[in-house]
Amino acid sequence: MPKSDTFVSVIAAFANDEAVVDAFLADITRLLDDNYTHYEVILVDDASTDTTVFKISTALTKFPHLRLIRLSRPFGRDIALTSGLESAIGDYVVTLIPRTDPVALIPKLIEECRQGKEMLFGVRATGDAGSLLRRWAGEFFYFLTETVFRLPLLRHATYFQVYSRQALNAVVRIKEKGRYLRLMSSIVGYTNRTFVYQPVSAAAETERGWSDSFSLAVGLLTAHSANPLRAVSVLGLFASFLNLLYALYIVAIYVLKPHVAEGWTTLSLQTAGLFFWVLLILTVLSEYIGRILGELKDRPLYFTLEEKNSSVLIPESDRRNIVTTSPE
Amino acid sequence: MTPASFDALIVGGGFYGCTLALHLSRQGKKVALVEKETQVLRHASYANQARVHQGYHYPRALLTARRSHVNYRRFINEYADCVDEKYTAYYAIARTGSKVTAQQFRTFCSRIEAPLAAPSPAVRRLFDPVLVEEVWGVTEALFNAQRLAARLTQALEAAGVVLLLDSLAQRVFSKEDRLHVELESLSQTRSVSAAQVYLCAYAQMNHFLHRSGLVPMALKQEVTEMALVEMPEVLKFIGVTLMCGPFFSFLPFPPTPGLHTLSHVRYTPHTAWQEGPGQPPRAFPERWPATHVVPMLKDAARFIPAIKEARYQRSLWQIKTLLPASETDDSRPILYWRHYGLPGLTCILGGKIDNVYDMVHEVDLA
Repeated sequence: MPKSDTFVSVIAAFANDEAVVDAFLADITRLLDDNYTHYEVILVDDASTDTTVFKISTALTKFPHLRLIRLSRPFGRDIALTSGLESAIGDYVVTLIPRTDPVALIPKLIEECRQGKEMLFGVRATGDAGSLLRRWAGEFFYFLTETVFRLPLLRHATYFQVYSRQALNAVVRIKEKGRYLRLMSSIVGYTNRTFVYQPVSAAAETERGWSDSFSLAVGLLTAHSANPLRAVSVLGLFASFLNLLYALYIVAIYVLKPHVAEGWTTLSLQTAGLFFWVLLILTVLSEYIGRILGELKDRPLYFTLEEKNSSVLIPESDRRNIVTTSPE
Repeated sequence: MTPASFDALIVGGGFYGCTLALHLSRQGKKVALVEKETQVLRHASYANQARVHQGYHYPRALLTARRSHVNYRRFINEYADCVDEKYTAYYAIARTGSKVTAQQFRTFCSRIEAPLAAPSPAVRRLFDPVLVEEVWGVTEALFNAQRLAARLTQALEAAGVVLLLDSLAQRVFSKEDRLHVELESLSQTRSVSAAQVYLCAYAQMNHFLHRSGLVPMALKQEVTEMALVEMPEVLKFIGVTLMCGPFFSFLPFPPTPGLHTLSHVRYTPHTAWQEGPGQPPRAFPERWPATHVVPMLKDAARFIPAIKEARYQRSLWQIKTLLPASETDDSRPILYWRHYGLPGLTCILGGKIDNVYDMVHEVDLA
């Protein structure tokens, strides 16, 4: 098969993945080399503490067209992949997690992108792992996103995605600090399609604990939907209206009844009710204020420690002591 | 037959070697210059972006910047017939990935007293507003290496410097208080002697030291590529430098009218190796590697979409020699080492042409 002239960028996010580095680099390089004249592989290291960086650095002297971006501390997969997206130069850009995503699908996906789809989203074929309770919590979350928040969140969506240059330019223009690539990609629109695939290993997807999952869910919802705020406004309005009715009722009792001594229960009830609403409102507001604060700080999304490129030495047999090509 | 004995012998006919030869002969010394090519200024002095630095380029190395700014006027005045100021240079700051912000760059320029001008709206529109934070127009001359070579050859001949072209300096050795250099040309091998030998051979310096049985210097050698491209009409008479990180710059190339040099921090270096004590110099590649012009253009077009229309012509390849210290802080100091291994042997390694005055000053101090 003749090689395609399309320039392909592949962005892979690593976080303590020493076990898969060598095999991944060998696979991806062979695959891209066989199919494309021009390509680059951007390896983002999310501050690994194992030998991931060492292994990648060694590979830079062995394989051409690699680029390593090292983040200064762990920023998470979304930010790690974003740092790659912001400097990718390809006509088509693939993001993936080396531990789970099968690289062999790439040529087929890119071909489909070329046929007119601007974006392709990967979806796991396997369902959620974990306990029954955990799965129910997941179901509840997806139920909320669909009905209350109306977010186009794909169930079992992964980071295995393909962008055309046009779609990528749109994604890079979104400067929000709260980054959820799996959501952002569908927010920018463009023609897209999902593809279902079998992950190489299910291990990486189940690592997230309860508290991580919860903060991810809250962050994701507040970042992309103003619906909770709207709901709180409606609730607040409704509560104050009730309060007004209640006040009228108290006034009416005071005017109409000669002896009002037994007011303690009612008063406590009212206070308790009001506090319930007020606290609820505060909770939601604090979420949003936190988010606004994050956006206002205007700090960079990520900090890079260093960037390194392939530097493959020319074999010794090709060398002699004279430079033959002189200018002109 | 040329005499075989001189006061000073200079190895390497680049801009530094030629300037030093002229300078020493003006002091009344009998000087010879050895160059392995048939003309002077054929390698690093030719295959570069021809920028006469005003200092804008070094926002993270204030000393280098200030020296550049001072030397700039001097160079422009001395070589008025070899410089081209008839284009507009623009410096731009990238929004992500830049090591300096627009604000820092502005402060830096006012500190070295280098003026910045706001660009016209038409020029600003050439740049992607999301990826590029700010753009300024500046005056920064380009030198024409061919004209510079012609002028220097003339001056060298007029000053009575003996030009030993097409001759490779093989090695140097010391005998009876004088230095002897073996020269090899197609027809013959001979030896000339001098009281002082100045080694200005840039990338070939360590090879010469190694052949002379001396310890090679700690240097980094880098195989670099600059693409020569034909720019679309809107970019024909401008040059752009995107600061300050893994970005690119393109400038008109005076020796080939109509073509720009395009260089990219990420893609210009192809491969590199270290030389130094215990690490003998490596032979240079016989063939240059496959061009990086495609990624250079792809990346540049993200910031300046008009670059999509650029047409690639060919590449200029060069071995670039760096001092280990200048890698991280971006400065380009001159290396000046007297009595390197042998009394009377001086090694000189310059980073950029306009710093030549600092070198001459250093030689006078000796």
